[in-house]
Amino acid sequence: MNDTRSAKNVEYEQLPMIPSSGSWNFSQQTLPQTRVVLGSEVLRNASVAFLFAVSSLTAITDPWFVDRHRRVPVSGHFNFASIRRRRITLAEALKLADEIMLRAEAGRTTAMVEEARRHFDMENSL
Amino acid sequence: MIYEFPEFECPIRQGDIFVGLPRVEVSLNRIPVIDEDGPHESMWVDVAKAGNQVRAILPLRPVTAIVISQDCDNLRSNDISLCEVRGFRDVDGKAKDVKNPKGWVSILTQHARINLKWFYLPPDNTLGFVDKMAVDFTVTLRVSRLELEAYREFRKGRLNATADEHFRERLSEFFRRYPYDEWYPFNAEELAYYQSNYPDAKPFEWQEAKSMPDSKSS
Repeated sequence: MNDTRSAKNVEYEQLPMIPSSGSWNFSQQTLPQTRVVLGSEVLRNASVAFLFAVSSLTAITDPWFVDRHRRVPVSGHFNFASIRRRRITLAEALKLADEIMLRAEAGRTTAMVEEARRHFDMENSL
Repeated sequence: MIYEFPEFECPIRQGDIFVGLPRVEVSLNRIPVIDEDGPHESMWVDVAKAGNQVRAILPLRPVTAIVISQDCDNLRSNDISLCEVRGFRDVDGKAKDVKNPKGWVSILTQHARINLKWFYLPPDNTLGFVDKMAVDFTVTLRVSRLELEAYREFRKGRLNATADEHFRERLSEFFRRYPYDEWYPFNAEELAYYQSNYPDAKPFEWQEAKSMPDSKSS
């Protein structure tokens, strides 16, 4: 089992970290030792420490899968044929976690810019 | 400004603003799963197909968030829902280049009526907002109620009564929106202009050329 200790000495090619949202600051009373933007050491430990328990939503057999033979003709494109499982190192796993965050943030930024572009300029349209 | 600063003992309410809550990011395409053989990259569909709990390395980062759950749920539910608070310029692209009060007034009044995806939070040093912020209704978090109650020292403030009333309405407006093609009643001239801005707007059957009234008959 991996835990925070096992990740302590892992070195990996670290991608740029996304800073915390907004411009807030912790007060001295609540968090005297913490910076607003998490350092790489903290984030690295946090990423590994949080071995996130991903549940399949139900403790019982998921009816989607029990019923999938009947549903497939309806949904049309939902199949489980593609299975990929690739062994990676812990360093690669950490880098992949970074990539997930970066990709998500980049996606939001792109969507925000695109939406702003699509909005009518009310003042200049009348 | 528009904030109050409740004592630690005050129960959690809708409109309470917490800092430093964890936001987790999950990818359905590539997940670094860890099992007894060590880490491996997997796809969520494989995890879902197996139907079992797995452990994975996922990125987390601390964010500011505002409680959106109703007050009765904040007293009894197992979980409390929040929306992320982000820099205003990161939420609405129209604000990127705004530099003067006229521009801000335009965005915070006219655009606020059009774009229901955010709620404006003005700067406040006590709260720790040194710049204009916004609630991003599209980014939600969920945390344990009991654990959030223990975490109340990280509640930096809450909306005052006037702002909270507005916030409640904006929140409900966002989630009760329904999608519709806003160009459906346009005449030919209006549709042409609309399509110059939104080329992917496809005419409805009654807007096809042979049945479309021209602008003079509208």
